[in-house]
Amino acid sequence: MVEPLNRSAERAMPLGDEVAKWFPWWRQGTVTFAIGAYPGAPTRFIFGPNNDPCQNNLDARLRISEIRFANPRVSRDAQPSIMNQAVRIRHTRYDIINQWLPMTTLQTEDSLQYTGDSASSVVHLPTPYYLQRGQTFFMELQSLDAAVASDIITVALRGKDPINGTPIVMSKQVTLPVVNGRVPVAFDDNRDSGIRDMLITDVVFGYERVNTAPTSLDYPHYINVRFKPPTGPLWTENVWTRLSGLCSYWGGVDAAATYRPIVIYRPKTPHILYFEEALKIECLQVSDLGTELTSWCWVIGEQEGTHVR
Amino acid sequence: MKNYLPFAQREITPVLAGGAGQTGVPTSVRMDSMAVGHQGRVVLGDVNVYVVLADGSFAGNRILMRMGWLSKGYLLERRLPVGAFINKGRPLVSTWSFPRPYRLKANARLRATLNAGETTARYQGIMFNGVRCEDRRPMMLYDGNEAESTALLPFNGMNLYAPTDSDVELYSVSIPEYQYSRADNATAVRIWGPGNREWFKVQPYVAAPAGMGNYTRWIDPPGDLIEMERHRGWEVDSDETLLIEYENTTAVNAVIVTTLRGSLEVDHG
Repeated sequence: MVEPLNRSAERAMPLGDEVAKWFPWWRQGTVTFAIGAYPGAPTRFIFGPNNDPCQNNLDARLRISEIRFANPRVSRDAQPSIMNQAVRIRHTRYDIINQWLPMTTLQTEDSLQYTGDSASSVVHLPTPYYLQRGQTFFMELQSLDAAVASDIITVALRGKDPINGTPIVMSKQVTLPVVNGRVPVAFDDNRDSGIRDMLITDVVFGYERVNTAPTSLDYPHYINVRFKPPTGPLWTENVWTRLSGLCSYWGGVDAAATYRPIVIYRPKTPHILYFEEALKIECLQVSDLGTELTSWCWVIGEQEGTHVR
Repeated sequence: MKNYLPFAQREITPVLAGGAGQTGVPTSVRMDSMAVGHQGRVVLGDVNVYVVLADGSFAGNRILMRMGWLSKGYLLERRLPVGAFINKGRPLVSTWSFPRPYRLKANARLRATLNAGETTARYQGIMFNGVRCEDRRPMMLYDGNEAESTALLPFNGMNLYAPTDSDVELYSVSIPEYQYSRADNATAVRIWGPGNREWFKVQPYVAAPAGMGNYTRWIDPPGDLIEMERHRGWEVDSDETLLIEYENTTAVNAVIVTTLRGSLEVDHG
């Protein structure tokens, strides 16, 4: 277990030891269908450099609380999208879905997308993260499309004081770099008010552009993110994750008859992955509309903080 | 053991126009679980109000409403715009979260039919999100059809059976349908539980008001939701009748489709 640096006998850990024991964890997988891939063979989502399934390589338990699917297509019928895909999921010990099921059938959540002129998206952390005073919370953003390069992004850490529950918000503004460039976002003591003890629950991204194409709802697809928390295990083993898969809420302006298809499956109790257990997630394209298609899958949950980087 | 059977009830009500900016004719609709043949406690989850104006225009917030109980009167003195009651967005994908989990006994099964109302053939399926009661492991009950179709499809496969070694608690049901595709052509869903008891007491293929297409048994009504109470719903006796009064202050007549969804409390599975 990771001991908080500033912990003393007088200051009880907030929310019990769970906060110090469990840390956010997620992985992004991809699958690409070539033109004319229909009728196709089942294709597995790839989560690592060696065609890996989503495997637990940590000496710790993983509690999987969400599986998400998306791709960048904006229209349902003009282009292939997750509306035209089927999915199968197998846990090392049991079947989760053992027959082809329409990917969108996995949706278990209510409204994800909001259309308005305040463009933002929100990452709800799978479990709160305990940031302690004096520490630096570091993250990086990467722009993936020229359309968002040089746009200003406001990043806000939202959370609460671990002792008395007072809400805390800290924010930074950064300018997105050229395509594939990266920009650091550092929340540290080099500012008017230093870092206080804080339970981070959400990370909010506010966007500059609203209604010029591509619309503000495209931002999450065009930004990669990685977090570098000061203590505890890394959340993503230092690899990039596309923001769209992490956001539980997208707000912004939409064009008529377009939407950003994303599916969120949230089991009521977590799927547990012990060491070397894996989720094998397979995908099938059920129609071919003449375009190469890449789909993404995100497996999101918590890792037990018994291992330290 | 108490169990909670999901139910939905729908009423289609013509509401005459009062004229632009003028007072309309108050028209009330009564919704209660007696209509689905139940006597006992009931949990009212949410209400959906879907307005169709005769000329196809948007009503904006010029349809007013208030709610109350037949036995106790209305909760408000006057009617307010429907938007003043709405507190929850319409899901992007059709998902219905039940106000209470429904427990399906070991070995029991569900079955369903889906009639995709969309013009584009689509791969169809249904999924119930649940948890095994024995070990709290997540478990889905589901069935899919491996061909694109707009035809009426039965779903009665092996994966809609509860396992032999455990009951399953079900929390929601989903079908593959995106909201914007539903305005004109609705996916008709029918679901049967053990003993062939049907969940929805709605006419299967109602001749729809103009502009609505075939307004049928949807899991998910077409529009934002009015939740009775954010987390747990309103718990009442089944002889309590929910009274909703509408007033149409537009210049054209309207048809208002009211959908009530909830759970019936029973002493068996």
